[in-house]
Amino acid sequence: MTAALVGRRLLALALVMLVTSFVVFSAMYLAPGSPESFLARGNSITADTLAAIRAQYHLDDPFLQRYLSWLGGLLTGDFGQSLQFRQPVGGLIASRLTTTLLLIGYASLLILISGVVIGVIAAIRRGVVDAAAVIGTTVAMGTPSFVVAIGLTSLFAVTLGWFPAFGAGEGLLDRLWHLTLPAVALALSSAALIARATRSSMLAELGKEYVETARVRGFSERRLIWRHAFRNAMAPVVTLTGLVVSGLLVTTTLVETAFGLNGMGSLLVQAVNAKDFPVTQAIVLIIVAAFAVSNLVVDLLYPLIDPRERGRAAG
Amino acid sequence: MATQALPLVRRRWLPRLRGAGWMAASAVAVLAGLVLVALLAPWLAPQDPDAVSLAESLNGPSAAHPLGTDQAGRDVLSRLIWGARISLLGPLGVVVGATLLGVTVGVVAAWRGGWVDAALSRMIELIFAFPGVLLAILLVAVLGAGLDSTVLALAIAYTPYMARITRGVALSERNRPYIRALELQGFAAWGIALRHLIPNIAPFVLAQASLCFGYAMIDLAGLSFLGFGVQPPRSDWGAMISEGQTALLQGMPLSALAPGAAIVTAVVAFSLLGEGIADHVRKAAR
Repeated sequence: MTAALVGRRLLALALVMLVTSFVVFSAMYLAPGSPESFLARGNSITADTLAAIRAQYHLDDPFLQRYLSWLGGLLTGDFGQSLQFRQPVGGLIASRLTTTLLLIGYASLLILISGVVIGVIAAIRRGVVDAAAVIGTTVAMGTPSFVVAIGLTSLFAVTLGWFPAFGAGEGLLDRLWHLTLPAVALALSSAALIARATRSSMLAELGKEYVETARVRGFSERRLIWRHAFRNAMAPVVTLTGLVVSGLLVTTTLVETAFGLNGMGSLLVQAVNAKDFPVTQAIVLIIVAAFAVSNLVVDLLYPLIDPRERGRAAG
Repeated sequence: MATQALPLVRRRWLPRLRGAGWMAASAVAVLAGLVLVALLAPWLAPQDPDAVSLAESLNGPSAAHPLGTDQAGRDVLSRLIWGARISLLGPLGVVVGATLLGVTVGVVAAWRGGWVDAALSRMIELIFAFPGVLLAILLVAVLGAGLDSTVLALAIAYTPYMARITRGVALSERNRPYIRALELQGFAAWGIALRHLIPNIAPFVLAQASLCFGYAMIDLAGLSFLGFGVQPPRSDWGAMISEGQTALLQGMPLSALAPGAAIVTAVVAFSLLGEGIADHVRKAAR
């Protein structure tokens, strides 16, 4: 892990973001239907008003100039004006971000804890328990988040009435209560994936010679599993969890829509439906950036988690 | 072409598929059943899937409507059966598109090597940075909602998965003596690639395509659930779930849960099939 390597990865990240911003901006530029017709809301407007709108949103500038000024704005934290809500995009997204981050954090905890626990149990209790875990995780991995969402809503919100079916709630405890079903819906298939990864990683470690040696030397089974195999088995699992969690940023769109949560994901859906391009551009860029940054962080952290990788990454 | 392809399939693929295990076999049976249902929809569906009857809105299961009716009084079972068509055709479009693109990119990259390989690999990494559903949402924002935009976007987003595996196996196949021998005999590169290399790596590609089919189905259903995919009056299973949400909140969950169960069944079957083929191909390759 050298500084040069980190520098190279950061440069690559900056390049990916530059290309992405260009693709996103030109896609919106090429889209049929002009922003001013949206702003006019179907009313017929005078040529003067139209010219004023076009000037306000810089619609008459050449393409490259508009792109560069938009890019310059992004770098100073200015994402432009929402056409739909008539307020700065940055503030709009910030107001929606709390719910989304809370939901993703909640789901990530569920994924890591339940995934690792189920995976380890399946690996050390071969037989019926293991078979049940394998079948259960196979089905869970094939169940889309929004299908889980409607199943949970039907059972726990409508039939049993234990949890609310809609909304994000007020205050921390109420919020966590409101976000429990959404978090489970968001977490289920990823938790199953982590469980499978943990299971196969643990099985691989437990089958290695050093475990057998330690067993022959009379170490307790508990110590073998937790102090030796578990610690070595977790490195790839942590990496995978990082990738899975960044993927939640996209899936949250579906879960927020299913539960009527006012988060960043449901804002994206609203923005696309309303042809609110500045908001769409900003959210797409934020998600791609978060995706790329978390991939980078996972790659850079890997040698720290697994010392065996240190020499390899540097070489 | 067909006269050549058939013995090829029988000689190379069938023996490999036969040992894929009972899980894969039952997955094939389930999938064959789903395809049959989709094909025979006009004869299997008990009612007209689009017949609106407000008097029968949100009825429970009965002899006339085994799965009840939805908000608009349409027969849920009939809509489920007809919905199988779009629900299966959409992912098929994604996988066929991604396979054509990905195999081309992968084989060209492996065959040419050098700067061509480097350039194509960078491009693949760039598309990897873009989550598939997000790419589809972006394209919907530009082109408008519809099955075409979402299938096109997902085909592009899934191309890297197909390209990466193709490039990997094509690289090792490319260095086999028989390819060198054919080159020395003066056969054109594209001819060797099409007639010899691609048929030999096909099982790997097939395994990956089957896995991708399940994921494509999840993604497309999700996009339809958001209202970005297939547009009314046509519905796939994802759109049916979205339509059934109001009824679900009123305590009539069947019109949303039935299509949900259909999606899970199909996706699990495809991933079992994909894993079965992949396991077998790996064993056979050893």
